[in-house]
Amino acid sequence: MRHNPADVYEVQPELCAGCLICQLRCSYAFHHEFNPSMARISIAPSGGIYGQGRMVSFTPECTACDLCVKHCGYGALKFRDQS
Amino acid sequence: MNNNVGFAGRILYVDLTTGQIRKEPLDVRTASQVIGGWGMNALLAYDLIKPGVHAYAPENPIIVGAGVLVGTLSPCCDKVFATYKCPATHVVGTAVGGNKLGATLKWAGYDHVVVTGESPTPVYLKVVDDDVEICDASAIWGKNIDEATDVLSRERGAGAAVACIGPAGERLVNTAMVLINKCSTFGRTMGGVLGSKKLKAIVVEGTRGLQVADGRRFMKTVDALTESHRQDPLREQWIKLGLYFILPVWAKAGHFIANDGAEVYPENEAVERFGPAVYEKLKRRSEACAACMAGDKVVLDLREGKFAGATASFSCPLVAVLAFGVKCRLETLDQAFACLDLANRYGLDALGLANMVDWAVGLYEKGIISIADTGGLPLRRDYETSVILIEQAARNERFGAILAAGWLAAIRRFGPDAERYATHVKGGDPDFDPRVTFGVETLGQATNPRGAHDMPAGGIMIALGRQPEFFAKMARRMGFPENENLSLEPPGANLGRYLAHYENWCTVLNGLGICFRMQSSRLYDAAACAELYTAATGIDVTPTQLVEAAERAYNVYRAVNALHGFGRKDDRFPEKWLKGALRLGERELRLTDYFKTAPVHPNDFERMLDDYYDEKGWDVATGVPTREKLIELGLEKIAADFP
Repeated sequence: MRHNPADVYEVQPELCAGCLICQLRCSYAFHHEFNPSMARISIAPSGGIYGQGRMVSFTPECTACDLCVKHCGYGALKFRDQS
Repeated sequence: MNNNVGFAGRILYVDLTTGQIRKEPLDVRTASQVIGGWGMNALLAYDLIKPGVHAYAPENPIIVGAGVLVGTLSPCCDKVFATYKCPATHVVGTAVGGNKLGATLKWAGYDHVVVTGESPTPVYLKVVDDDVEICDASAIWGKNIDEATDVLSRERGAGAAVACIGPAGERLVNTAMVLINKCSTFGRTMGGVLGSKKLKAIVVEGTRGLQVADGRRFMKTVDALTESHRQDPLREQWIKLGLYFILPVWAKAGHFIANDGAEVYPENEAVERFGPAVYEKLKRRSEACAACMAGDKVVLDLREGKFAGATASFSCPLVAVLAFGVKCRLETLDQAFACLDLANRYGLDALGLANMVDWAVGLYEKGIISIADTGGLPLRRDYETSVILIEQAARNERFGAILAAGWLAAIRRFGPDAERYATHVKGGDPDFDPRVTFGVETLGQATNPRGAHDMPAGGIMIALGRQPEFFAKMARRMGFPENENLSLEPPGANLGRYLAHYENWCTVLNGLGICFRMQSSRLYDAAACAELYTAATGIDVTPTQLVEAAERAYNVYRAVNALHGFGRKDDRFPEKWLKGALRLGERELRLTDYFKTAPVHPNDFERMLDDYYDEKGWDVATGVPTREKLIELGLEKIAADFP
C-alpha cells in the first residue's frame, strides 16, 4: 500500500546537514546506483548555499518506505508520532 | 547512467589557453596499481609537472581527483585531492578537500580533472555531466568567495559543488586558498595557481550516478561500518560539537601553542574564552560532506567584524582558535570567528597567516624587524592588527603581503636571524608541536613531501598517554607487516619505522577518499578497505595488496618531489623543536619520546630518519627512492629516472 510521506514523516529541515545519505540509500534501493538525482527525496539549499537551511521534499514516486528516515543521522527525518 | 563500476572511468582535460576540452578513458589497471584517487593524482603529476616549472606558469597543471569510494555510501568518504606545484613552497603537493566536489565529480562521470594553460580573461569551468564549458567569469572576478559562490550556485542549482577563489587568489597571493562550497578548505597554496590561470572557479554537477561491481557485498560492509558508527559512545558528541569537543582535551595536553612557539596557551583561558560552552551559543547547525555520518562542518552566527550579523560556514571551527584565537591572542571567540571568516571570504590560508603574524610579532618584539619594515604598523597580537594584516594580505600589499607570500619568501626578506625563530618545514605550516607529543603525526611533518602537513589518520599519537599495546593493535588494523622492528614498546620504540608504514595506511585512506578526522577514519581497518575496494571496483585485492598499492603511490609522490630537488636535506625540524624549550605553566617541555621516558636529541632525530628511509627502502643518505625499490614496486618507468 502506498503511503504519503507527509503523513508518516516529520521533517525538520533545520537539522539537515546535507550528507545526502538519504538520497544515496534511496537511489541505491530503487535503481542500484548511487545517484542523488534519481532519489525520491530531494534535499535543496534554500536562500543560497547556507542561507536559510535546506528544503526537504519528496517526489510523487515516494512510497514512504522508511529507508531515508532509518538512515538520517542528524534528526532531520523522523517518524511522525501516530498516537 | 554510468557503465563503469567504482571508478567513474574518465579523465577530463581542459586547456585554458587553447580552450580545448577532451575526455579520455581512465586506465583503470594503471590507476589500481596506485589504488586510484590520490595515487593516480601522483602518477599524473609525475608525467605532467615538469621539474623547474614555475607554480604560476601556464604549464603547471592543477590535477583534481576524487577518492575511489567517493560518491558511494561508504561512510565519511568524500575526499577530493588537488596536486600542483605550490607557489609558496615549490614542492609538488597534494591538497585535500571535501564537501561534495569529489562526489559530484564522480556522479558527473569523472575521476580526475586536469586543468592547464592560462585564459586571457577571467573564466570558470562548468562541468555538468558530459556538458563541459569554459564560461565567462568577468561578472564575479573581484568578488569574495562567499559572493561568487552564491552567484554560481544560483546559476547551477541545488546539486552543484563550487570550488572558488577570492581576491587573494586573483592577486596571486602565494598562500591563497580555494574553498569548496564556501566552507571546505582546499589547498593552502592553490588559490594563486587558479588565479594565474584566470580561473575563478570550478563548478561541478553530476547526474550520471555511480555503480559498484558487487552491490550486495559492498552494502554488507557499508552497513557494518554504519552500525559501528551508530554504536560509537562518542557519537552524540560528534553530532553536537564535531571536532570542537576536543578543545578542552587539547588545551590541557598543550596543543595550543602561543607566543611564537615559546609557550603553551593557558588551559583555563582557552576553555573560558573559546570552549564548547561559548561555541554552542554561536553554532546554528552542522554541515556534512557527502555520506558523512559525523558532519562537523558548521554554520554559525557572526557577531563581530565587517560581516557581523551574517552567517559563516567553517570546515573546522577549531582552526579559528588554533590560529587567530591563540596565536594572535584574541579576546573572544567572536573575534576569532570574524578573523577566520574574513580570511575565508578573501580566500587566504588562515592558519598559515596567523602563524606568520605570531612569528612577525615575535621578531618585532626582539628588534629583528622594525616599524620601518612593517610600513609603519606597530605589530601586536590583537584583533585590530590581525584584521589589518588580513586586509593587506588579501590585497597583496604592504606588510601583510610579505607574510602571505609564505615562510620561504619572508625568511629571504628578513634574513637568518629571523629564520632561527621560524616554525616551518619545507615552507609548510605544522599543525602540532612534537615537544607536546612526539609521534607519527609530528615526525611525519618532517617527512611529508608536501611540507609540515601532518597526516593524522585518527590522531593516534596526538592523544597523550596511550600504551604500546594500543599501537600494536593499531598496526594490525592498519595492515602493517608482522615485524618486531615496528614495536613501539619502550625502550627502543622505533618511531621512524612505524611512521614508514603509517604513511602507507594514510595513503590507503587517501586513495579511497576516507576522511582523516578521527570520528571517521577510526571506523576503518585495512580489511574493511580491501573488502570495499574489491566490491566497488571488481578488482580483487587483499589488505596486503591494497597497502602495497598505497606504498607504490607514496613512492611515486616522493619520486616526483625528488625530481624537483627535494630529499633528506629538506626533511628537517625547526631548530626550536630540536633545541628549544616550550613553557607549559611552571614546566618546560623539550623534545622527548612519546612515552616521556627519554629526551630526543638532534642525533636521535637523525637516527629516526635513518630508520625511516631504511624501512622505506630509500637511499638513507638522500632520502630518495632507489631504483631497486621502484623496480620492486613495479614502477620500472619511473625507476629509469633514478640512479
